[in-house]
Amino acid sequence: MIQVTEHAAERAVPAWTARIRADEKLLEVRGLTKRYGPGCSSCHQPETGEWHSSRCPRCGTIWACRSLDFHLYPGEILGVVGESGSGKSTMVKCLYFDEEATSGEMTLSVCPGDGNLLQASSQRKRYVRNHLMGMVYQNPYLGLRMNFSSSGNVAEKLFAASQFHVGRVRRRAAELLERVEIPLARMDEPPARFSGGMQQRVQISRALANDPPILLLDEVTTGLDLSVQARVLDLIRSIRRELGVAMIVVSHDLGVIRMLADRTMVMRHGAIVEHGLTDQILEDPQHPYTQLLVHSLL
Amino acid sequence: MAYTAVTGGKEAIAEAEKLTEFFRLKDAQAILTVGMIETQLRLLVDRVMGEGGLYAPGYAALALKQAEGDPAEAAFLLRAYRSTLPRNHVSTVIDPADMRVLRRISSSFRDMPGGQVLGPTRDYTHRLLKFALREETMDDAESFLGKYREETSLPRERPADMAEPATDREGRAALPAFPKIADLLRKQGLMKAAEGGRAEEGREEEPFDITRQKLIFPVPRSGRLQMLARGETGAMTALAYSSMRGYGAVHPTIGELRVGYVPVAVPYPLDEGGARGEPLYIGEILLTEVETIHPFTQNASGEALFVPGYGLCFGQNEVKAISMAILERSLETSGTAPAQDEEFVLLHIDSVESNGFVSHLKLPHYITFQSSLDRIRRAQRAAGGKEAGEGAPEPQTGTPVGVKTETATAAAGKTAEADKEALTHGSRAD
Amino acid sequence: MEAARIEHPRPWMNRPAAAYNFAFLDEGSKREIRRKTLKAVAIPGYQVPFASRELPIARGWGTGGLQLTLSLLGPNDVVKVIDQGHDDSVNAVSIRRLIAETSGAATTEDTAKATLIQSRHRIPEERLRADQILVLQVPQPEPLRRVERSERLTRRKHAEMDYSAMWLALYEGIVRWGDITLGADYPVMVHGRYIMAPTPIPRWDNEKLHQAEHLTLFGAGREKKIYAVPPYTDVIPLQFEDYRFRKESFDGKACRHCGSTDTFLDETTDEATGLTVYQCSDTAFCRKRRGEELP
Repeated sequence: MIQVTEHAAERAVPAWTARIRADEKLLEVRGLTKRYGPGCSSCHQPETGEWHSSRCPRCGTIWACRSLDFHLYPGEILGVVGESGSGKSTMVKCLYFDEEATSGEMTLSVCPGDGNLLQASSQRKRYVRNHLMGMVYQNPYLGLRMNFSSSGNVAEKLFAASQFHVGRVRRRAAELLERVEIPLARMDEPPARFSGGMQQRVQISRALANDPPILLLDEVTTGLDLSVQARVLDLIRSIRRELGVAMIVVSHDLGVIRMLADRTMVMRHGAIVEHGLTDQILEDPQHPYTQLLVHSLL
Repeated sequence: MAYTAVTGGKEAIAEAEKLTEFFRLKDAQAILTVGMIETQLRLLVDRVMGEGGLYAPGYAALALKQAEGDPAEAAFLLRAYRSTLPRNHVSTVIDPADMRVLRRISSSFRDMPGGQVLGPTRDYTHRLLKFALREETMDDAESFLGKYREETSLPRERPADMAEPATDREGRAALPAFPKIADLLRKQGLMKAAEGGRAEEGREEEPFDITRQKLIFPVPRSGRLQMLARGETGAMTALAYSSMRGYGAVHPTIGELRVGYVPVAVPYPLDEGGARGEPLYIGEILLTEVETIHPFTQNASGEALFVPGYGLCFGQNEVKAISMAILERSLETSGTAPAQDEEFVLLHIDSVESNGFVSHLKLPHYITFQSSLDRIRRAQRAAGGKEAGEGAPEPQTGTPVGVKTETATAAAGKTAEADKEALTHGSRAD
Repeated sequence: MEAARIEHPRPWMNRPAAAYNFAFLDEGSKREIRRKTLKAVAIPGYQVPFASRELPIARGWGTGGLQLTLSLLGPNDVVKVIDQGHDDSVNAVSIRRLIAETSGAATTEDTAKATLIQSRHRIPEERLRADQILVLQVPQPEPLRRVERSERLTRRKHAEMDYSAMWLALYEGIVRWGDITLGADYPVMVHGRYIMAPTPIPRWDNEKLHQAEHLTLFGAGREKKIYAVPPYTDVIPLQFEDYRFRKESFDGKACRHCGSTDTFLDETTDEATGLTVYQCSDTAFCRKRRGEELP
């Protein structure tokens, strides 16, 4: 029988905290482009201008992300809002290396020596995914092993960080699951038996397992009941407060963005059409598309 | 549970061999010759050649005789024999357009140059057992053959070299032409150009050789075609069937099915320094070739084109060639159906490998079992220590985060299976 | 009266068959296998793909191990073949016969006299020397197959040393049953880099691979992989700091023939008494201990 009697009194502070300065950009992205298809002469130099769709009418190539530039400071939440097909999910997948970006640069201040991480070796990318970035997917089946224990889902991340003491791993898993309000008695149940909201919370705990400085959240509350959504959003805010984790929150719902994000960028047809402080964007949207979105807010 | 170790193996094997030979011969009324098998069971011989991956009708017939008619065993014998043969020459690329056609049909077109030639086929026979065959004699055979030859003006005598007909250029030119339907469609711009084939003359790349290199996924097209060409007919038919029935995306029509003899040539062996002399003709092989036509798609420039599927195998084995074409196309599409999964299809259709591994379960597995016994006994002892109740445990907060207690017997039996199930069906998560 | 032999219509079908090459495989094949073996020795624990040849023995019945043995065999070698620890087991007999008939090599049951030992599911109890090579038959060379179906993905996991799923599998066993549940074919970490499947040898035998004087080669014929553990290589079974690897236990049991308490034992029933009794799995070793001379 495996005992988890008390939470670890002192846990080591993650190594990256020493390398972070609050006034230095944690994540910087320049010219991120993702293209599906060969491209042609007419679409090959994608300007960040206005397009009618992401698809080139001549060759059918889809430009899901067109030369995106943005950054993230430590501890801040960047919201990304846009409708289906805007490229926001693709952008996040490129950051997490689920998709291979066609071109562009991504740098993290916590590993300056690595240069452009989009071109790093697969070993290096794996390190980044395990230690420096956590990802929460809209569909929990993508982010979890549904037929394994929930504690196992968290433990897998710890194993990837070479933690090979079952007792300590279980203590940490219990701590994280409790933090996301999963009852301890259910920590060994498979997520397949949980409700949608609980599954998302397990995902969050898994993403936080190795104390990454950045969390990527892709439409995590979409499809959940409103009360459940509220609970998850509260959780996300409290995590930011307590752990100082920086986040990129992707949503098509401006209401979610309003609740969480300090700054926001609006995406349409693969390009960023407007960005700024969330309050300013909501109160005084400049771009006609943003105005449309804001006015549609219930 | 106790089990015994097998001893006295040498004697047992020797006796088993003798017994097998006894069973092969004990009820023989007359000795079945290799020639009889080759000439009167030709479709079985063709199948065995195709699955063994060796075109040698005489040896295939011999293998069938030795294996008492078991096609998997016979294919195995051929494949093992092939291992011992040195590779002395590589033929030039054969062109089934040069085929001396026995049979040629199309389900896509009613009429085409050359026409529909049914050839020797049972497709339209009624499957009624012909009891008269029990009394067939050589005289009956000769009488039928004589009459048929007269009707059709075939030469009265069999040539000295069995099944080696007139093969000179004049002889071939005298035969009717059967242009490839796929070529006709390509000329009209309705079908995708062949990849790396005749359409791209002078840029031929070396095909992958599955007998000299291990398959690494994703597999190049030549590797796929080779695996399919010597795949087991039954396995491939089942997978192609699944694809057609909806567990997949493939609904083709047969553009062309042809069965016939294709000439094989090798580069002149004494050619030095690439002086390209006339290739040397070394003989003909009987092949079945199927080209299927699949619903059109848009290519990179947005044009609508038919997409082909290709099947080719030794001898006359039509269902295998059709299945091969379906599977080849199916593997080019993406989806979740088993017939679209390259590893699933290519790794499980080889007769020698599948039969071998399934049969290997007959080997002793005492050690594996003994090791599991140790685990289950330990688990039972551990469960005996705590309350072993039925059903889910009572949730308890705060104190020991305990382990689920199912009854250890049921549990340990399921453990390996359940874990394996969970693991392989787990998500892509990392 | 004897009936006339019916000749095959094609004259060359009636000629006598040619003899097989020494040790069955052609020299080109043997060389290729040896090259791949050298690569395997250079990268301990890494599975080297090779173009496995078909043999007269079925796939799944030891063709991988056999290809290794045949490619290493010379006229002066002495070969021992065992299955489940027994020289007399049907499959061992069959393989030994094939080797002897196609090469004329000497065979033995005495581990100490052998230069090449081909084995299925056991490592001999006698410590092997530097001049001996152990060839193990492999059913499933990929230890990650338990957690990942796809060959393409397991290759990548090995390349990136992405083994967290394997550890998760062990963890789940601990959570459910209180201990690691893997039995034979227990995964090991070789030279601190690759997780390897040691074949379904019992856990008892895992330690014989660690820092051994001899070379161990692994051949998977059907799956077409060769891998190796060179001499003096670290081979550590996967274990947690607080849940260690454990061998099978034979506490309170002894071999009924030689009295041994430090060998792997087979369980069997005494025909006369009907009682459960134990005897050494390594039958040759047991007989040697009892003072017998082995062929």
